[in-house]
Amino acid sequence: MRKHLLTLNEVTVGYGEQTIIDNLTLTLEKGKSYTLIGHSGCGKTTLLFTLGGLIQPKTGNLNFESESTPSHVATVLQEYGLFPWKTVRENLSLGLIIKYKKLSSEMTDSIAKLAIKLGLDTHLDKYPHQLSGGQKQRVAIGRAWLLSPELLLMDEPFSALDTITREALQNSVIGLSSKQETTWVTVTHNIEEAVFLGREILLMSQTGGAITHRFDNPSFGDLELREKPEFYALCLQIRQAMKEIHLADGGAR
Amino acid sequence: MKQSKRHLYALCVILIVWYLMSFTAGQRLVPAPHDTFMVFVKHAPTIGLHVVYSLYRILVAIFFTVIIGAPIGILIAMHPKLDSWLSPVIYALYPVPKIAFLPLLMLFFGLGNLSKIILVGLILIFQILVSTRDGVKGINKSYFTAMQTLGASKTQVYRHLIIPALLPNLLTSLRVSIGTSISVLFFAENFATKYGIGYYIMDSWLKLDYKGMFAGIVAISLMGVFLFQSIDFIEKKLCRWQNTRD
Repeated sequence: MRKHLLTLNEVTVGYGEQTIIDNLTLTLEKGKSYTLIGHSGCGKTTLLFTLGGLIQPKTGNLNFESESTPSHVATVLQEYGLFPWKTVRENLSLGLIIKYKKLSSEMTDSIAKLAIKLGLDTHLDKYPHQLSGGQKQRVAIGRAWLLSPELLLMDEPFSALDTITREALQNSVIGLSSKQETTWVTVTHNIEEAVFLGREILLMSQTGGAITHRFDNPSFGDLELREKPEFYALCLQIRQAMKEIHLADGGAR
Repeated sequence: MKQSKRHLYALCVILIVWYLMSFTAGQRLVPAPHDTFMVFVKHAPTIGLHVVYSLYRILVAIFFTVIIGAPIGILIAMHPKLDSWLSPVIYALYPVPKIAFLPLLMLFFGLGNLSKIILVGLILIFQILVSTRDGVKGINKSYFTAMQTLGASKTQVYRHLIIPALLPNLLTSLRVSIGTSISVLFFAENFATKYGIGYYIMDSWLKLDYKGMFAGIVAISLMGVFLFQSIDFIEKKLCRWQNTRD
């Protein structure tokens, strides 16, 4: 049994008068990889940003069970969030510099090691506009990863990438997730991605951002999973559930 | 084309036009470039001294304008309330011809350098202010979110995001306003001073020394080239990421 990392207690989130997430209670376990899937506009990103402390709930609260605080949370944004005036090396190290003011020799070493792991070692002195979309996303993930977060949040990280690059990056994420006990929450609208990256897949409804279904994925971590029948069986199960939700939410909006 | 080749090309075009003008208007009114060059060399120490005075006035004005204008521009951009109060005032004062204030400036700040520096500063500050404000307002919101996700403090947001993001805008506005500043300084240097390239040119004109006048014009042009090249150099050093673009 894994330990709990954080609990959302009856959390309600919205913008102005509009309520996006209504009275949601959710517990995330330590070191587990979650994917959050749902139709466009159902509140996935809002929930992710609430977990990251970027949006404050109107009511309810977030309780980190251990000594974790929001500073142990790192977020990878959909648009990468790389700064054009910083080189790959500077973008990678920015989170560490912000957190610790300056880089120690261990930190410099870990940046170099991670750059090799992510295939960025030959691009460290380049600027973001000189990189491909996949490379930019690797830098964004690397920057978050270097903070050794207890909770790593990713907002549709691979949506702008082609299939091959996306799969290569998904493999990199699986590789990283096996290395340290980090809880991952990845928002996606792609069923295959949700199954590949999630030990548990959370399905969100458009009505009040409720988590209506939770799917367990015991094969999580297998890099060959995409070629196995259980992968497609789970994808199909999720597709059916999404259809049901879609109908229950009133069809296409 | 390499930069040195481009400079040579520009020089050739200027010389051809100049020779044509000299030929058409007569050498008494428009001295030939080679005659002007001889005068320029002969009076180089004097012209140099005048240029140093003018450069000093412009550089001091640029320095203080950036120090004062850029932070105010950033503040206005970051605080919408301040923006709503100050922007109408800026818009009202921006088009006012600052040169009209020279008598007042001389009255309040004396006949020396200060009044001239403040006049140039008044021309520069509005461009710096507005371009800084617009530069900060134009920063993609996702960069602020990225900073927030990294847990950056306000100072870190300024250091890693706002200042580098607005540098290109700031340098462009300096480039745009330097031409105007030199023209205004030229005018201001005709009052209550015996130093400055503006004074030298007008003094030569009044003495009907057209060769001297043109040598002065060459000097003011070279001063402009120096200022523009300095901004290019600063941009190359501070905005390295822009040099890597095609």
